[in-house]
Amino acid sequence: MDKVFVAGCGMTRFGKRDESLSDLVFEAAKMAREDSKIEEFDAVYVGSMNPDEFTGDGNISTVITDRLGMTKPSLRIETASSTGAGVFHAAFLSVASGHYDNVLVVAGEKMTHLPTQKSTTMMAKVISPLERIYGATMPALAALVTRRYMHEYGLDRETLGLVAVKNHYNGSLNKYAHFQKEVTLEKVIESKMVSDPLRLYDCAPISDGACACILTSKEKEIRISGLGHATDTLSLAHRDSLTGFSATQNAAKKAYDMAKTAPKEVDVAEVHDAFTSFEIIDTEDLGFFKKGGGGQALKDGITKLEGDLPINPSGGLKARGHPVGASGLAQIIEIYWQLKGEAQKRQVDSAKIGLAQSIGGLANNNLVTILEAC
Amino acid sequence: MIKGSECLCGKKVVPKRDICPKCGKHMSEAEFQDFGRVLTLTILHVPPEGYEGPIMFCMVAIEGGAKLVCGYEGDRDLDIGEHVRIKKIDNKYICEPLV
Repeated sequence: MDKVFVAGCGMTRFGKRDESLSDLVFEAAKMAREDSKIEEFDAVYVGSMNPDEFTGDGNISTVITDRLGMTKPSLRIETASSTGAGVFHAAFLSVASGHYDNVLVVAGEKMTHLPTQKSTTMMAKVISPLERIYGATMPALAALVTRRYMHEYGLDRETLGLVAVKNHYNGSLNKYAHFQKEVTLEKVIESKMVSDPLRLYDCAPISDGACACILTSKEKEIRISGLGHATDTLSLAHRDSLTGFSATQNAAKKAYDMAKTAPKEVDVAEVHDAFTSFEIIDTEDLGFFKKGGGGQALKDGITKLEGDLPINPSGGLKARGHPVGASGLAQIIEIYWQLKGEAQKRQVDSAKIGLAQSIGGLANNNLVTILEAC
Repeated sequence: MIKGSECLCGKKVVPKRDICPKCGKHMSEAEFQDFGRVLTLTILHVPPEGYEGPIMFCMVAIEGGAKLVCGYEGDRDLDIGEHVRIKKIDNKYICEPLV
């Protein structure tokens, strides 16, 4: 398998955007092309979770590739809310196989023009019909997981809220973030109840946004050293454990093995914090902390920007925002910027190995990506 | 009793299905007790289209090994660990406190 490098990246600001999905992708792709100095591509890989329903656009890979002014091979990849990572992995394989040399990967979603209840209903289509018939949504299933985790490991409401406080602080330093304002713990734990025990500030927002990344077989500063991908049962009720996600654990093992590295070697990570409790669970599933120890690590400041293992320096899905198809790629791009020393006000100290972990659906299509500075 | 399926790998599910979600082998039909304990629960205050909130539902560990997401329409809160009885109404499972 050939080595694959990241040659350049681009991102729009996430949030409420007036532009169309293809205009947002154009903006991100332009930035990535300028960053990489590569203008000719063998193919365009497009990630978008549900443009057919969110914007009414079909054939989105061609719509976007046409907007970019290209007539190159183009295809769309979808893995629910991990789509941005899914498309990155598919593009990686096309270069690693030797079939392509330079590939443009783009990912985006346009969601905020719809009423929240409509978006929530559409997002709920990714969960099992066995659970959906009761009116279950993503926050509701995440709440079932969170409540059980709190019960088993004694995680308290305040510690859960600290995830949002930390990630909003990081987001306040990120010019691409949907939310660039700090929040207090009081505001988090007094915010509107969504699905007990998860409140509004425990949930990532609905956002618009796009990002782009260029992969190449030519040697560059940042190499893609490890990839792992795993699925789990569609229904939460079919799982052995409710307090950890085996799809993350299995994907992480594959990625660490491929990169010939281990959790303790990771300098910085972006993890899928669609819900505050997920960040704590993710950091355990990835092997950073022992089971049940993620909350204490957070309280000890280990996962802060200046801590030993900064988690979600971008602000995470929680503060950077969550255009569902884009988030997985945005996480990888944040790691690229951190390893290159280009993360500006939120730059962590001397990171050489970085990891991004993305969850699709209710943790049933998860991907882990490891980048290394050469 | 509640109808479900079990697999040689040990997996037990409700409702019944032909293929094991864990190992891909054929499952055989099985019957489980209609009671169990609440593993976790939530009250959803922001329901999807077509539903009125708040909606309470829980996951129950059925006596015998399967887990099941159920609705709950009782007039008092349930707790984790509480014993419940499960009834099938149309194609939905609804639980109620055993005591």
